[in-house]
Amino acid sequence: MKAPHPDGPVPLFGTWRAIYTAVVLSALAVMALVFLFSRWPF
Amino acid sequence: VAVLSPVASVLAPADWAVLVTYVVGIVAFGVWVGRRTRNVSDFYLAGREMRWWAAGLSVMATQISAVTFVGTTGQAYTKGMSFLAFYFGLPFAMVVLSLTLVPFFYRAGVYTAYQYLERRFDARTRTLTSLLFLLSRGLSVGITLYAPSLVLSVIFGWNETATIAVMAGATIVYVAYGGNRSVIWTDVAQMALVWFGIFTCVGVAVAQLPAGVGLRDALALAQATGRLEVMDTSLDPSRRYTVWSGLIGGMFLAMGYFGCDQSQVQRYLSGRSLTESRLSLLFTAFLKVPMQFLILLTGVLVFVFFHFHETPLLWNRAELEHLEAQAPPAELASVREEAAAAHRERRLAAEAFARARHGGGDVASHRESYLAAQRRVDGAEDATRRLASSVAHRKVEDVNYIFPSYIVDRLRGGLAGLIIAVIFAAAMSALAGELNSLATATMVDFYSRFVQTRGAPGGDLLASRVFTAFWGLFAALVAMKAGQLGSAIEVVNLFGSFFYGSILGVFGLAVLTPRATARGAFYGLFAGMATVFLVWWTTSVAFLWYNVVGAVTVFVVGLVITAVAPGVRPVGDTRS
Repeated sequence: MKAPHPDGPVPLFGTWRAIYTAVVLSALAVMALVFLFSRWPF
Repeated sequence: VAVLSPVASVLAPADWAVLVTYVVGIVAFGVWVGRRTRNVSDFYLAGREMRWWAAGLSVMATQISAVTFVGTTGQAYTKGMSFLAFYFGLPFAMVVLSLTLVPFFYRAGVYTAYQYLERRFDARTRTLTSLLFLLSRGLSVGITLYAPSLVLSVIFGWNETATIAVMAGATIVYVAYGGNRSVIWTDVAQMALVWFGIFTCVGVAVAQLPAGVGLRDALALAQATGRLEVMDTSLDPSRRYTVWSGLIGGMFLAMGYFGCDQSQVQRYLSGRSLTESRLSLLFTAFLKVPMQFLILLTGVLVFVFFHFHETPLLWNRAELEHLEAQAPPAELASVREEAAAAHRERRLAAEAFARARHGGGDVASHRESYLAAQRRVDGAEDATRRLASSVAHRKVEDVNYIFPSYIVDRLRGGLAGLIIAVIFAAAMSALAGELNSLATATMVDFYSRFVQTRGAPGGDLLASRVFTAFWGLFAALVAMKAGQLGSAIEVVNLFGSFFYGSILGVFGLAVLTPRATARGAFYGLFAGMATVFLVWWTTSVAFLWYNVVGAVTVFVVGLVITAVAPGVRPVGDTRS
């Protein structure tokens, strides 16, 4: 059985690794969207 | 188009009502939420009971200032959205901090980041880093107040001293009374107001485009001038905002600011658990870039808006009056005539471009005509500023006056008052966090450490409140004198970038290298600052890279000194 996290339950996504991954992926996604926005054929 | 159209200098009664309601309301709210502050733990860390979203909004509110609104919107108007790259590294910095510094600070139970350095290294490293924080933050907090006060005074004809006094006085009252609890909860309210203001600005700018010109047309016009360009992939280190300087330099800057600057550390250490503290930073990581994108987009839309509406010869009303009074009449008439003709040509070209996009002609040729007209406007505006600069015997820049001019001249029905309240909120939220952290660092790292080491709890709370008032008055004094400082303001801003990266290097040594000694950290810090100074003095490297240079130098020199002349090995290491 997985030991409880010493600083309390990990909210969202189950693990801290998943949370950090989500933050990094969202940052990359925002950069990609900004790039798309700047090049979008308005 | 009548080009010379000075902006209105008075707010309507509805605007005043909104602004006064905001100031009175935020002070009353700050005092009310601070009524439970009874000891220094409450005053410094809000009793460590904050939820992640409240601490996260407070982190964001402390970072943004009035310059965020009046400066970056003007920057987007004149140069486009490239400044967004400055924030690209921030989310990654938040992840690194959540993994490294935040757990060390939180578990050590410290009030200030610098306290941790004494436990890990020695008292002199703690004292030096805290002193650097007090010096730079103490001076820059005055600029935080001065910048919006100057702009609002010029636009509205308000008394500059009175504007500074209202902002500083209102903030001192609730921060000195309620400490960090008041800071965080008023920050939450102020951030809600700021977000509301951002969406209002974007909505109004779009709604005021003329018939036949839609949002897509507006963005196409901005895009044609390069104002939507964000992704500069140039490897030239002297270019200020590139993807690389933003990602790497911006990441180091964000790690230095959020990880080592007490005004931020104190916000997230108020979390009710380590999890809440970490989440507050990650929450900021999610929201910061989109928020800055919307603020810059507002500036771009205001740029397009003034294709179709009257544009003043100069945005700074005082400079315009000076120009009209002092410039040779023939030269003034010449620049005025050229500006009027250039703006008229641009308006017609922009309308033709929009019509062509809707099937009314050759889009490519109309785009070229529009760009030629835009170049003519750029040339006319440059000529105006050259004349204004020669009359004033100094460089005239009025980029910070564009957005406030737009607000007061174009927003009605209390909206101008609302956006001025947003500018006040941005200034006061930054000021509040900074005053609270300055008071805490003064109290914890100096007064309690060296002067009154065994004070009574009640006395410590009173002293903390006195220090808050002291720093507030000091900030107001610096703001009132800032107009006479001239280039000293740039020195103050530059001063911070000299040591942010270096202090980050010290904290890096503290948590990443078990063997690093106090001697290595202390002298490494000096080596880092000296290297950054040399880079600034001898090269044209953009300032974002200073943070990388400083951090890496401290880290390397610190390790070398540790290896060559270790001195006393660290004892009482609280790393966990």
